[in-house]
Parts: sequence; structure tokens; C-alpha cells
Amino acid sequence: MGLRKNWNYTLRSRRRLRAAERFLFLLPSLGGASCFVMLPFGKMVVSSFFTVLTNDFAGFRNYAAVFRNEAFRLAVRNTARFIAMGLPLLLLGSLGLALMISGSFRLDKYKYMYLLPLAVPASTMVLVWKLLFSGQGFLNRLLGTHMNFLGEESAFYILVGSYLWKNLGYTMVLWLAGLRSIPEAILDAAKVDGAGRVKRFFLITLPCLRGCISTVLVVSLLNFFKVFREVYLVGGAYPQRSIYMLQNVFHNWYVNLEQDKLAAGAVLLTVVLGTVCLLLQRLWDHGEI
Amino acid sequence: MKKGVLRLKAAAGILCAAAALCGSGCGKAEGNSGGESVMGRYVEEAVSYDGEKDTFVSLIREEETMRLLDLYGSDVISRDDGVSFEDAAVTAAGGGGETGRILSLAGTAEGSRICMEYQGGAKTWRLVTADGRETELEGLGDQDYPSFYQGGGSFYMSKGFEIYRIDPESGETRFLTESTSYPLCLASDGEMLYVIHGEGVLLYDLQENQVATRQDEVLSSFFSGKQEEFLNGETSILLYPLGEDIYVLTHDGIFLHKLYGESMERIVDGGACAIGDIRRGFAGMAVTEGGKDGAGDGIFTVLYTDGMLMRYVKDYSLPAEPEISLRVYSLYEDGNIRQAVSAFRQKYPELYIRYEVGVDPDHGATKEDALRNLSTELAAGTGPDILVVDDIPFETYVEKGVLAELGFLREEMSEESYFANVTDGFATEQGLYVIPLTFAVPVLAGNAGTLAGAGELENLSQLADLLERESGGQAGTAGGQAESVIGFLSAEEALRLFAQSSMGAWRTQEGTLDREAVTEFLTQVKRIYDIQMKNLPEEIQNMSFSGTEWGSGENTLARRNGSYGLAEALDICIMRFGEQPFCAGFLSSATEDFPMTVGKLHYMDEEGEYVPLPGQCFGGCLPATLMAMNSGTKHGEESRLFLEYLFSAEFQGAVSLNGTPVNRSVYRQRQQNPGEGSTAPYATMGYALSDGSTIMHRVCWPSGADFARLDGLMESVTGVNYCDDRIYEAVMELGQAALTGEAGIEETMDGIEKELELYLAE
Repeated sequence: MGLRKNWNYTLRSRRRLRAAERFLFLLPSLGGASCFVMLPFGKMVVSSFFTVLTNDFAGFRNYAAVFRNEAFRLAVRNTARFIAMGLPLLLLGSLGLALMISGSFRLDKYKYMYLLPLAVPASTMVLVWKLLFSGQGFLNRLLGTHMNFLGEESAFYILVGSYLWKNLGYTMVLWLAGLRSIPEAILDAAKVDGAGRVKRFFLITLPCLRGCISTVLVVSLLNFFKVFREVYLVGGAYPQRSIYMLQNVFHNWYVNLEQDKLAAGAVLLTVVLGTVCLLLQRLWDHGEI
Repeated sequence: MKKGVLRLKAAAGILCAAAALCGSGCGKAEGNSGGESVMGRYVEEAVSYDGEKDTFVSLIREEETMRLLDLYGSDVISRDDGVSFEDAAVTAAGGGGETGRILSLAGTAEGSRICMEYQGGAKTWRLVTADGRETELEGLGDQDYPSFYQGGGSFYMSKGFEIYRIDPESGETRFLTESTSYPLCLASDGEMLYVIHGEGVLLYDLQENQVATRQDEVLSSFFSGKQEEFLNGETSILLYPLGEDIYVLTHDGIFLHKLYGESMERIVDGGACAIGDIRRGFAGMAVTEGGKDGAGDGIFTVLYTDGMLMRYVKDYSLPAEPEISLRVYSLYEDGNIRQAVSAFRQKYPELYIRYEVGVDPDHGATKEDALRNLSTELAAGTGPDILVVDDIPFETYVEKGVLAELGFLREEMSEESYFANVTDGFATEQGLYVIPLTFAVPVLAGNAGTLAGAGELENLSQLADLLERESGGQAGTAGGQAESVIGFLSAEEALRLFAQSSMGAWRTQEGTLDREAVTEFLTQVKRIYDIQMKNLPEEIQNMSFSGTEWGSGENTLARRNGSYGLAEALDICIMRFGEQPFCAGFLSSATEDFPMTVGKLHYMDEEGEYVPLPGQCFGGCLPATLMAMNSGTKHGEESRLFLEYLFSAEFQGAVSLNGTPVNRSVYRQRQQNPGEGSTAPYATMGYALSDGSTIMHRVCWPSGADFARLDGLMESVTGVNYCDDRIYEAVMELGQAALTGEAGIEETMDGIEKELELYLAE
């Protein structure tokens, strides 16, 4: 009995020690995140209820102003459309590429080539766009027209295309990491049992990638919200209507000292993104994805 | 257990290290221990001396003597490091300039000088030694215009890309080297010759008589790319070598560089003193090493091209960072503010004032960047104290409470002393937050009879009708048709010209675009454009005679409206279209440019007259240099003092402002003929025409009737004609297609609305 009690005591103290150890390891990053993320965010939440420069209490007026703001609504629509079109293409395209590369020894050697677009500065990319799509660009010469593709609705598709081109490689590398973690033995066993490629993909590869899917999805989703530099370099503060994104409206509010609206908008965006991430997490926990 | 404790210790160790690292990087930097402030700051002192200020062309220091070199030989010298100056015996043989015109001059502290004189179409080169020996230099070529420099006891000359050394006694000229780019300035300490050129600095070793084997890369990169600015008169550079120390003077300040060193240390901040004034070039600099008592920092004496002489002495009784530092900010360089800051600094030397310009093309800072930086500063509560809000969306600033109410200033402005319609132009129900410093009135000039017979002339439609009638049969012109009716040459010029009297009507009270008003504007300007272009020779269509780029320059009126002052419009008319019946543009600097404008107008037509330019904001003026104050300023008293000084007769009467000053007493004061009692004409205007002929015309001081007409115009101003920058630019840019016929008016309007949709929706 005495030995058992002693053993229990040792176990408890070891657990406590482990917990303290984890906490200590976490403390620097937790401290950094609190100082540089949580506290400023908290300040922003408070600011969203005030008129920033004069510090008058505004209640929900800033939120109401944001909802009423046509530019904000347009930016939300455009960003949602951008994500709705770009995200599936990015995820499926990069997964397809990853599958191709993982299945081919020859292609595998060149997988890091796909990361090269990430190294291309946004300004260079925009210069190429302009050379290709401006009124006197190569595309117009080819078609014999004088259309400024960057000043029309087509700018949206150019933006989606270039975003995919730039980020496909990075997302593909994330998928590759997931694919590499699938034990070869399971795939080989399925092969021996006569399962074809499609069957192997849906019954083995995809379920094994479940852990990876949520990470890739969340990371890609968050990155989609950050698209700004390319748009700004093409159209300045007020680009073509179809590529006017949330980051544009936030930038312009900042420049025009509309910081109360900016705070309210940022809080709203955080709430939406947080909800989406939690929803994904919930679906994931329930095994629905 | 032991293993667990070990891991815990490791974690604690890592945590401590992280905390130590964070602490070292994030702690508040303490400049000195014990909280004592660092003492010592350069202060500016004006030095007075006798003589015609604008004829002093250089400052020379050698050993114990400092000499101001006068173009005509009336030098003054100082033997106490530039504290006081006394007349130097007029240099023997005058040093030139007695009969001809001196084109280039250099001298030594002992009194010898070298010059090039232009006389009767011929150039002569002379060297006059201190004891009066005169040598005519020969073989220097007749086609070139050389520049002379002095340094280390010798004269140097740049002629084209070639560099020469001239013996100060014998005049013997020796070719040294050739620069890779046009030389901007030469300096020497006797051992090394520094040739500043457009691509950098070339070092020539005078001991070895060859280009130095080692060049100074840091110094060179500091100067590279300055050629265009220098040649355009936008910057001024001087270099003063003193052994291993090289002092560089630019409008950014005085820099110290050690030969072959790695840095350029700024020791005097140009923005905080007269050095930063880009309207003043530098004629010379002298450095006294070691300060007052031979210990400490050097003393700098700077001679400016307008003859102003300043000393910069380090005062150790003052803290390095002033306790009160007033900041004045404008988005673009503003000549009026530059003058105001300079004058204020001299009147209140105890107050430290800085002028900051947001858009800096040299450093790639665009308007957007500048506005973003300004917003950050204002939001952080560290914004400038005084704001010049031309080109800044000040309505948002008023709405957000960033700007202070200027009622205190307005209370001191009586209606008798100020043009109240202009000063109150931006008043709203909430108060007055912005007051213009100057203004201009857009006018239409033409024959008095024609203008009187035109009937009501208040809107663009009536103006178009008048131009239509008048363009039909001009006597004395080819084919009975005037080439030009009103002067502009392109669609953009037409839009900018008539926007002067219309742009204030383009926005509704709710802040949206007034489609109807802009449509009407484009419709009527298109009518006028078609009338003007009908007889305009094709080869000059879409040309610009003015040469001024919109969006640049220190004159806010010209930057926003282009070179469409009436005086400039008349120049174009005289030079190109002798028979043009009308001319239009803004009448600015009314009391200074006015005599010349009237002279030109009367030269064109003895019965020439002007009326306010018809438009949608008929009677409105163009405000410039819009002054506002940061409501969060920590130096409210000093800011108010600056604004009060800015609008005072003392300041406005003492300087030459771009635009008509809002101070009515200054406006009246300027109507006094400076040459009262003299029969000589006020000025002579001359034009070289494209056919080779010239026009010379004597301009007399305007008559009482001329001034009465001007008074009438100024008093008739009903308010300000101002438009949001983005709306204005959208109409200017997209409206051109409607005028040239590339797009219909409605189509253009759709385009303008589309362009502004997001901006207005935000």
C-alpha cells in the first residue's frame, strides 16, 4: 500500500514537472504573442468603439459605418469571390502537382523549381503583367486589339492566375510533406490487392492526408486575404473595381485617417476568419473532413 | 526524476536567455546616464557687412583672412573669423567689370583675381595680382564659358569637361585632366583637387600631378546623380577640403567626411536653418577649425547667392535637441512657406523651427507614401505642428478633429486689413480650420470694347458664344481668321484653364460628384476647344509653349494650374499669336507681376482690359498655401505665434510671395511706385520671336485707373474655388477624350464616375 502511495506521488509530481516544463517552453512565444499580437488586438477592439483621434466614445457607430460603406461591401464581395475561385483551384492544382511529383522520380528532382515564383518580387511580376496585358502589351499585339486588360473585369482573372502561379509551388510542397508521411507499405498492400490509382487515392491517400488538409486549407485561406501588393502596384490606391480587395480599403482608410473604421473592419475580419477556422477545426474534429 | 529536473532547468535557462535578449533589444534607449541631456547645437548668426549684397560672388579663407569677393572689386575682409568685416582696399585695376560684364570670377584671400569679361561681343581673360599687375591670358578659346575656382593658393578652371590649373602670379595655364561628366564645382587644399561632376567626385593628386590612384567611393556616391538638379538650379553644392577633413555643403546641411572614410556625418541640419532654403544658392563657405577657442567643433561661414552671410557656431549652452521644436509640414515644396520659416527663424532665433516636405522624389517618396507617413504621425500624436494642406484631404482631417479651429487668428484679422472673402473661404458651420496665405483671380483679358459689348459674361456658355462670334472674322489675319482665339494649344491646357473658374462646383454638398455640373463643364469647354482648334495650325496643336510641368515646382498656383498665369498667357500670345483677341489665366502676385502684366496687355491692345473669367464658380479665386494647425500640437503657443507672424503685414510686406497676399494693407502698400518721381520706365520687356526678329517694349508703372480696376477685381472675389485633388485630376485626365472627340461626353462622364466611385464610396 505504502509503495503504491509513493508510486502515485512520484507520478503526480512528474506530471506537474512536465506541465511546468511545457509551460516554460511555451512562455517566450506566448509572451511574444501576447505583447505583439494579443495586446495590440485588444487595443484595436477597444479603439473600434471610439473615435480614434479625438477619443470620443462611439458605441457601435464605427461598425454601422463599416457595414454601410459601399467600398467595404464591394471589397468583401471581391475578396470572397477571389477566395471562392482561387482557393479550390490552388488546393486542387497543387495537390495534383504534388501527386504527379511524388509518383515520378524524374519530376521529384525539380520540385523546388516550383518555389521559384515565390522569389520573384511583386514589382517584377507587375511589370510583366503590364508588358503582357496593357493597351500596348504583347497580348494586344497578338490579338490586334488595344484593350487594357488590367483596367477591365479581366484584371480579376489575371490576378487569380498570377496568384496561383506564385503560390502553387509553396502549397505543393506542403502537400508533398503530407504525401511523404503516408506509409509506402499500405499503398503497396492496396496495390497487391488490386486497387487502382483512383481507388488508392480516395481510399488511402486522401484519408491519410486529413491532418494535412486542414493546415493547408487554413494557411492558404489566410494568405488569400493578404493579397495587396500586386493590386496596389497595378492600380494604385484605387484599382479596377473587380480587384479592389479588403486590403485596399484598409490601406486607404489608414491613409485617410479613418482609423476608427479601420479598427472596426479589422475586428470584423478577425471574427469572420476566427469563425471559419473554428468551424474547420470542428468539422475536422468530427471527422467530416 | 533527475532527467525531468534537468529538462526543467534547460527550459528555465532558455527562458532567461530569451528574456535577456528581449531586454537588450526592447529597452528604452537612454542617450546618456543620469538623465542629463547632451549639450551643444549649431546656431545660425547673421553677419552684417557693407556693400551691394548681390555683387559679392565668393567667400575665400586663407590663413587668418576671410574675404568676400566683390564682382567689381569692392571686397570686404574679416580678420576675426567672419565676426565683422571691413572694407578692403579696392583691388588694383578693379578686377574687371568697369566697362564690360564679368562672366566668371575667382580670387585669393591676398587679393589677386582672375576673371573673364564680356565686352562688345568679345571675351577677354584677365589675371590681376594683389599688387596690381595685370596679365591678359591668351589661348583659352573663344567659344567656351569657363568657370574659375580658387583653392590652396592656386586658381583652377573648368572648361567643358577639361580641368586646368592657373598660376596666380604668372597666369600660366596647365591642363590637368578631363572629367567624365560635366564639372559642377572644383575645390582644392593645395594637395588634392576635388572635381565634383554629375557622376561623382574625381580626385586629382596635385603632388603627383595625376589622377589620384585611389578614389573616394563614399564621397563620389554622395554626389552621383546631382548633375540635373544642379544645372536646373534646384540644388547648390560646395566642398571645402581641410587636410583629411572634407566639409560638404548642400541644402540638406553641412556634412563632414574623412578622406577615404566610410561615412558622411551631418553636423549642421539644413532643414533647421537657412541652408535648407532651396531658393538661395551657395556662393562660398569658409571653415574655421576648432571653434572659438581652438577647441571643439568648427565654425562655418556661408555666403549665399543673394549676399546673405551666415555663421554657424556650436553653442554648448544649448541642448543638442531643442526643447521646443516647431514642425511645419507641406506635401510639396512651397516657396511661400520656405520664406516664412526663414523669416520666422530670424525674428525668433530662440525658437527652433523645421520645415519638412513630404514628397521627396529623390528618395522615391510618392504622395501616397507621404500621406501614409503623415497619417501615422498624426495618429500617434507626433504629427507636425503646422500643416500646409494644399493637396492634403483636409476635409477628413477636420472631420476627425485633427485640425485646430483658427478662430483666434481670424479674430485678429479685421475686414479692413484682410481680404475676408478669401480668408473665410473655407469657413463651415463647424468653424474655420484652413486659411489661405495667398490667392489669385482667374481673368479673361481682351479689348475693353469687345468685353463691354459682350453683355453678361458669367458662365462658360456665354464665353463660348462670345468666342464663336469673335473667331469669325479677325481683321489683319490670314484669311480673315485668327489662328488662335484664346491661347491654349491642347485639350489638357483647355481643361486646366477653365477649371480655374469652375472646379469648385464639381462636388455636391454630400461630397459626391456633381455629374450635371461636370457634364456642363465638359460640354462648354468642348465648344471652346473646337473654336480654338479650328484655325490652329496642326504643327502646334498639342504642343505646350509654357514648358511648365503640372505637379512640380515650389509655386503652388503654377503647380496646380500649370503655367496659366495671365502674364505667361500674354507672353505666349505676343510671341506666337499677334492677333489673338482674348487671353485668359490667373492674375497672381498681383502687386508685383501686375505692372508687367498690364504692360504686356497694353502692348497687345491699348484698350486692353480684363474681367473675371466666366465659369461655374464665377467670382471665385484660387487659394494657395492653405494654412492649418494640428489640434494635438504640444507647442500651441509657438504655433499660434508662427501663424500670426505668417499673416502679419511685417512678414507679407517683407517678402515676395507667390500669389496675392491676403493681407490687404500689404496689397495696398505694394501699389506705391518704387521709382516715384523718376521719369524712367519701370522695366523693359523683350521677346525673341521665332522668325529672328525681336520686340522691345518699355513698361511704365500702372496708372491709377489700372490699380482701380485691379482693386475692383480683388474686391469682387466672392469666395474660393477649390476642388478635391482626386476629382480634379480625374476630370483633367479623362475629360481630354471628350474634348478631342475620342469619346462622347456621357461616355466620358461614365468613365469619370467609374474612376471616382471607390474613392467617393470610401
